[in-house]
Amino acid sequence: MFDPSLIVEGVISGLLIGGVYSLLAIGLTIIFGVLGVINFAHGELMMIAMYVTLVISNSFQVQPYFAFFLVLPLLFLFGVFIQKFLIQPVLDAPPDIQVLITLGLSIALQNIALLIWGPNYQSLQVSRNQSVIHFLGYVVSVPRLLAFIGALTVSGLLLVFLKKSNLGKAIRACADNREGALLIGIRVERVFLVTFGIGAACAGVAGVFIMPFFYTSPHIGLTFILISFVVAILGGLGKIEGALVGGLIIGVVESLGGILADESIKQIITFSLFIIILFFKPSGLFGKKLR
Amino acid sequence: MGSFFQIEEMDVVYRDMQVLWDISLRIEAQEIVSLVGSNGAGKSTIVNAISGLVPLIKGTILLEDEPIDGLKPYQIVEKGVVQVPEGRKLFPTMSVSDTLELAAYKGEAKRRKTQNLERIYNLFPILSARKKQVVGTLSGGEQQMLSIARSLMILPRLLMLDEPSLGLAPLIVEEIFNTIREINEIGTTIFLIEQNVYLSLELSDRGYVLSNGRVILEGPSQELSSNEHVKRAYLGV
Ligand SMILES: Nc1ncnc2c1ncn2[C@@H]1O[C@H](COP(=O)(O)OP(=O)(O)OP(=O)(O)O)[C@@H](O)[C@H]1O
Ligand SMILES: [Mg+2]
Repeated sequence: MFDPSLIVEGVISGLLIGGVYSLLAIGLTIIFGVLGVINFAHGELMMIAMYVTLVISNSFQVQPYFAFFLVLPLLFLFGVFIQKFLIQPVLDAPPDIQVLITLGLSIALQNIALLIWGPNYQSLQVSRNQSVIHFLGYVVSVPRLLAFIGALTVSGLLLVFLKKSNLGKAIRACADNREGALLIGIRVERVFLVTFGIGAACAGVAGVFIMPFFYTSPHIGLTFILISFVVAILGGLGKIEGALVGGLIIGVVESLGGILADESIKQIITFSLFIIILFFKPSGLFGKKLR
Repeated sequence: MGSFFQIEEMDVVYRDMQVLWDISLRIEAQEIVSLVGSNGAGKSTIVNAISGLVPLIKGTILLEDEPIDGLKPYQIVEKGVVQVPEGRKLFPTMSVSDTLELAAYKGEAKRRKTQNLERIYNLFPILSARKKQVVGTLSGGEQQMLSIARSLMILPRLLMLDEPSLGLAPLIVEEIFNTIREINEIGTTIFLIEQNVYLSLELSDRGYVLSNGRVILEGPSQELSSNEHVKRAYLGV
């Protein structure tokens, strides 16, 4: 039989990586909730952030976490740019046009990364932080713990921003009723710019925090877009709290899948659970009942 | 010299279907003007054109002799031309007080937010009792009041109400019409779109009758109520 402490460690490790999934999926879900656009380039935004983290850490021989301060504004601006020049012009077009645009962007970004950084997997050169701490007798990896704390802190701050600030309320108003927002004088196009910026920055920050114990490649985005779709849909598309919880669930399921079954089929377990949950709650855990 | 608010010879087309022909109307300061007409006549299209949600293909819209067509919706709101839309268009996940405060998030409205809030909670005591409630859980009548209250937070000079009585019980309708009168008495000009022709002609100073995208009748409300065509077509007499 399995050693039960192995399971507990699996749960802990899954929760920790799950925090990063949560943040990533929050980015995807906020863009969908406000703009109604599915950002198929979301994984590539994370991939770019991972490379930027890699480059900064490797060229200055510093801890990767320093990249946070560059990646956050950089990805925010990149998101604003995408919205302004790629999405805004086709916002009123049928959704398939927007899908084509974000899909096209994802392929373009993959190829740009391929050109600049080559096809190989790369990871950080600075001495890897392999340290662990012992928590109630269980082994916890420090970089994963930092990623979890970082991702949840950023998610929490974002939630507070959306609940309390005027801009945050304007964003929620646009998600709730775009025309209603226009009619009370909200500059909806600007809100959209900020929203895409925030969504992209979420992917970026997730990239920074995962890099210390992960590797990157031009196609790594595919892995993460799949996970963030599963998380966002599980939580109810557009529901930020849903993505937060969904990320933790998927993190744990995936981690346990890897332990109980085999690394190679853990995705099957993740997707099975996904399908089972949606079977009972088709609009996601936090979604409204379907009308 | 023109009127406070004026539409001149406006045409509106959705894709390739024309829905408004040669619309001209005027609203004087402090007036209540009603616009009546049956389903699909083009009433909402007129207010949406005024709010900048729908482009004109011909004609112009003037506020104090200055064209406002072609401005963005938020600029039109900044000029004090505010719509209470058909179907309310509220923010269901937000609280009542957040909704009201968000509407007053800039300019003069922001400076006078506190006193304006107090005035609005006096006007709608039911909203005051439900400040923290999530909008999606309000009753239909409460939602309609919130929709009006939300617009009032912007300190409108011209308040356009698109079918405020839609789907509401007669008592609530009466309450809402009384409130509209009160809003007008403190100096807000009102453009009232209604299918409840009897009530709206009773409340308003003048009226326009819209049919198939054209103004077919206009005049003082009393005259319209005694007009044979209006009686037959809208008052069921
Ligand atoms: N966005 C749109 N695209 C195409 N046609 C539209 C659109 N909005 C309205 N129409 C059409 O324009 C015409 C006028 O509609 P409008 O909503 O202005 O009528 P209304 O007088 O407000 O009707 P009701 O009393 O039912 O609200 C209708 O034939 C409607 O189908
Ligand atoms: Mg209408």
